[in-house]
Amino acid sequence: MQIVIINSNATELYVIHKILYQIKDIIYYYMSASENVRYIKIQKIGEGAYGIIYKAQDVQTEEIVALKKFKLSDNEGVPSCALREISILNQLNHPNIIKLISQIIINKKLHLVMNYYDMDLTEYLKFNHEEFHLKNIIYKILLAVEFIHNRKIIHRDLQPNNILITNNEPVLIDFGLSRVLSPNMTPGVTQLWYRAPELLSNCNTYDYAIDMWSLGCIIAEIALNKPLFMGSSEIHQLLLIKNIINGNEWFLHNSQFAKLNNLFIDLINVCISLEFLEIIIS
Amino acid sequence: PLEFKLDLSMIPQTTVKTEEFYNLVLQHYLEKQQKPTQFLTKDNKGYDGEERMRFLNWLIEITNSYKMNYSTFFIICSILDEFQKKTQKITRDNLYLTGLSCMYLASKFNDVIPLRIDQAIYISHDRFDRNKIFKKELEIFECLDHQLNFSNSFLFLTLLLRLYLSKVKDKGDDIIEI
Repeated sequence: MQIVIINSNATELYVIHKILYQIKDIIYYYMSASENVRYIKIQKIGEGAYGIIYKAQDVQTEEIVALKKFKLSDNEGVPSCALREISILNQLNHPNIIKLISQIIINKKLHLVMNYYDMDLTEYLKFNHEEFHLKNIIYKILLAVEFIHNRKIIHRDLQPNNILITNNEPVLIDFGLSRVLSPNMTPGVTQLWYRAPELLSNCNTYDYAIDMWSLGCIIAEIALNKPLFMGSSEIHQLLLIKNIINGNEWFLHNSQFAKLNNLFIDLINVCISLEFLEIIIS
Repeated sequence: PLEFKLDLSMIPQTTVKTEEFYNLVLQHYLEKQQKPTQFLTKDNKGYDGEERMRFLNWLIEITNSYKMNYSTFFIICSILDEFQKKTQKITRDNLYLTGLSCMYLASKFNDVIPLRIDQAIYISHDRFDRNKIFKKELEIFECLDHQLNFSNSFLFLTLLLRLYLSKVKDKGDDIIEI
């Protein structure tokens, strides 16, 4: 670094020298940072219970990536959601599922490096789109979920915020809650509006059906442009769901479904099947 | 041989016969399961088949008494074998540290309520401190290419049994005759 000073007398020089001396640590820090640090954080995008997501730039390739920083609970080593997310994402290689580029440790904190997309499904639905784009998105989401289920993995957090859209193609993200099928699991997963009735009734032997329920809600949301069940609490949500016990009639009487094709209603009806709820009530 | 017993409380509609059948298949599987023989050392200092068996039996006890998922035991098994296959660094001296770290890792991966670090230290009778376990844990995790999702026969067995139970819900309890 060179500083050229023209036409200056001794006192000015002395002042500048003093300032430079004071900020020399900062200058050295930035000069060394560019060599050691591969990713530079640009801004914070989101925050959750698991950690913080940053938008960042790769210094070497000048690519924009998303950095997911895990809050390390101070005394538990690698957090369990990170363990699950990394080992599950490493297994999945599909065009409609987010790719894990690498995982790095900065300042003893675990960071996941992933591709960056700037629009999610909720934002995407705020604008008007061609019908075949929407159909394509639904189809691709179904394919991706089938791909996950074939590998005995349950996503457990399907919601429009976790589906990103790039060039009218969906990408599934956030596998922090997902896990391999096992006989005993926690019921408190998925966002409330997309939570299946078996989860709402605190059952811990559920299976892939909970993902299908969320999918049904998402598909209806894409068609109607507003969420299907908007409960304010778990009880309220169950009451809303109870309305559709006689599925077909409910769909017929509900005016908002009038514009939809019969086949499409069948698709939603299959996803939000109520076999489980009928068992509870009877 | 391994002494692995299941109680099938989490599977609905179980009878005595189901349990018998399940244990039978499991015993059979455990006997036939391929031991990674070429990676087990034969000299006195090393980690041989007998030592492995003794350790796995101890693991079964621990996983039972801490109420972990049944599949956790099988995941620990796979992690341990895979680690030995990749590094061949396990000796009789560091077997317990490695195994404990494997257990801690697998429990965090697979259990509803994961093992806490103070429990892990308690299991080791205060022989290892937390930094030692964390360091080993990270080493194992990196060594396995961040991949803990091993498929094991236990999972298939569970799926098979579930499928069968859902098919014969009303046919009674003739489960031995699959």
